[in-house]
Amino acid sequence: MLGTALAILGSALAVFGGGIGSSIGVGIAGQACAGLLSEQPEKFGNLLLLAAIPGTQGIYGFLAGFLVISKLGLLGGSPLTPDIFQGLQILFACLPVAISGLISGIHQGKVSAAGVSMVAKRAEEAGRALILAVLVETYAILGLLATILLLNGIKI
Amino acid sequence: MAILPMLRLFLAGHKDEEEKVVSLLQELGAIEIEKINVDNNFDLEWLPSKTSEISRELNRIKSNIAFLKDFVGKKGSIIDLFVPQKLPLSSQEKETLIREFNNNGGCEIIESWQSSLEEVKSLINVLLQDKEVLVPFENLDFSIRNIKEMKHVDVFLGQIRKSDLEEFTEEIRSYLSDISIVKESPQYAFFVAVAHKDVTGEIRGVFSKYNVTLFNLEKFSGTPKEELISIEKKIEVLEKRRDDILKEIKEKGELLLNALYVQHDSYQNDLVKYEHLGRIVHTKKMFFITGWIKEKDANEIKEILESRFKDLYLETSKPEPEDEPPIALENNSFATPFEVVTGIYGYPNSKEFDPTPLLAPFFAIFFALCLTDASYGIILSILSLYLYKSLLIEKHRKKLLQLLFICGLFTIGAGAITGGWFGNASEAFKFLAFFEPIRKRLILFDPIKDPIIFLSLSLALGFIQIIFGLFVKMLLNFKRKYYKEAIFDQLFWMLFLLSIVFTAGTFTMQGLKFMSKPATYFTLIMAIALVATQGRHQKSIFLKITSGLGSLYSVISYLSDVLSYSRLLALGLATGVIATVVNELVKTFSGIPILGAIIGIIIFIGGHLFNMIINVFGAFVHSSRLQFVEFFGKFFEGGGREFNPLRKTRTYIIEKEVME
Repeated sequence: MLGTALAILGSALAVFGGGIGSSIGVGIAGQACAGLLSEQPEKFGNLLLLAAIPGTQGIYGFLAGFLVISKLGLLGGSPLTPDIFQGLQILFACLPVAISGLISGIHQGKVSAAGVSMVAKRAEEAGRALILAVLVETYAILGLLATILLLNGIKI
Repeated sequence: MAILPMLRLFLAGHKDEEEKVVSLLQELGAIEIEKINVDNNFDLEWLPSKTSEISRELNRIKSNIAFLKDFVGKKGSIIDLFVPQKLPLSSQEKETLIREFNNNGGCEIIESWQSSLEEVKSLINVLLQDKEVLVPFENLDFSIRNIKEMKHVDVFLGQIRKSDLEEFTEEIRSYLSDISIVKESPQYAFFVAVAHKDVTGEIRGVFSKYNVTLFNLEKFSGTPKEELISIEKKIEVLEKRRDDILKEIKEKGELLLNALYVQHDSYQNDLVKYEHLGRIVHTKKMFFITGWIKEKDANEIKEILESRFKDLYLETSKPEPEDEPPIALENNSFATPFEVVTGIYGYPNSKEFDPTPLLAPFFAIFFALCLTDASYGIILSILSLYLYKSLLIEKHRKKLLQLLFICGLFTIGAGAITGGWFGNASEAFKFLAFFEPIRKRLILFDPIKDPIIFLSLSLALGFIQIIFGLFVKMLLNFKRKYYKEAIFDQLFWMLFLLSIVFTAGTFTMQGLKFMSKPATYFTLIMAIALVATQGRHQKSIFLKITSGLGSLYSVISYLSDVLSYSRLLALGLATGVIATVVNELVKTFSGIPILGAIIGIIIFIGGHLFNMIINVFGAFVHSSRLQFVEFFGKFFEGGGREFNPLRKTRTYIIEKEVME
């Protein structure tokens, strides 16, 4: 049973790391957007994307968490019971997406907020502001990828 | 199919015709006027006052639009939030609108509505305040006139905190002939106090000690009840007046608003026109325009201008080598929508070529792999087609929709081979089970079960695009006669990278085993060739060798470029997994009879819509990034300036003629 608990801890960490990163990131970007919207409400369309983009880390974390859940068969049917070492393996496999999501989400939020001030002056630059923010996301994606590949390799 | 050739344009004419010429140029929208800062412009003193007059008029119209919009503006749909729609009108309809506008009183009537409404509002507010003062005393049966006329006593109407009431009455009773509480609210008590004029000073002292609010009834004369009735009547009259105005606004508002829109756009265009007028060269009798025109437009425009104006001199010439003409792109109908992607990065400079057709197929494939759900592809295509047909905006601003349409079609293919149809819907739901055999037949691999296949596919596509980027750069260098660079920097690298991959292949695949030795040797030879040539810019032999060896380290950067394409797997998996989660959620509700089905349908639609939107967005930005960083980095310089001809701008109105 300890194995299952460790695996669940991994799943939880992935969801929670990505979730915190995203909520801080979207928070930073969202505040900047709200400030600009009070002056230039017609830019809502452009800004929505900038505010939303740090939200993907949360989704990646959730995705990894879900993969663990389905690997353990917790969604229904008969759950598998990994031993302690398998549980630890799953826990460690979840760390890349948890940590990279946490940190990159925050930084992506900062880049997005800077992008908002760019859009404030030149609305036509919204596309470039988005691309800059996406540069940060790469590392969350690599984290997710590592987690997926590691999980895929663990046999229960 | 690339960057359109541009011609330099020189135009000279008589000053009397200047304004008409510039107006026509704006109408045609084919010429970019070069802005020259001129110190000495003859006879342009009228221009600043003209411009400020127009901007004043424009501001007036804007504020009137803002006012009317609250009453008659159509409620904007969600689409309006992202893309404000324009009103399609023919030029005849525009004229009729303006005529009607002037017949109905024009801006003046709108402003009079505005000020009357404000006046009524403030009058009603004053009356409501009076009412508030009177209500607590409505049961007093003497007229206020009498109070004012009393010679020996003062009458105070006031309000005091209930908690202080007892102490207050105690203290004040010694000065007073009478005090009575007429009404109580949860917090306050309202009282009427009568006192002799001799003790007024003391009484006021007590009032201020207990923070009593006194009401001033100077302006009333009858009994409170009478006064209240008359206030109600006045309010009624004012409200009637307000309703009349609102009715009038409802009747005429829409017509006036549309006419304001027409005027707004026309003034805005005038402003742009005069701004350009101020920046061209004038002498006492002449004006000169220099600028750029697309080569293909040149003859037609020349004919139009020369037929309209007799005394116009017009000349076009090829750009000089040191010129930097503005950039206009033209592509075939498949690649044109992808100009949106190129535009985000920036236009190519005039010495380059247009990368749009090169990135188009890659972009569409990458987008499809990021989305990997056939049903999302179908929805995306239908939705963008619908919006393309129905959105009331200029055609060139609809390229993004065309792009999404094409990418949607590609996504259907990518979804089919990975078995994504609303995730695993046909597997999860019994009533969709009929579809399962079809899905199974189309599927090539399941990305959740075999992520490695998907990963290899992503990396292979990345490798192909990077080699392709090097190949393009090599051709470019050959064309520019930089033969050394083409061979040493691109060809050698391409061969080296290809041979590394091939060698690795020979070791893993049984059938190619016999090739592994020659392949290894070839890779080594290419490595040596790179070491020998990459340090060629250094002076001493020693530096040549070390920097040649150091350049091999670039393998790492190529490796990281290729690895970057693994995002295709991550994003593709994300779509599939979230879709599966949505289906699982729906399934958990399916046990509940009737209600379960309703909740299930809501979750199914909402969940898949959410998943589709965030993943379309992710697919777009990540596919773009792969073009910009990994692909463009190999060959593209950019830094071109977009061709921006003097043309009509449209904020509210779009001419029907333009739509067709």
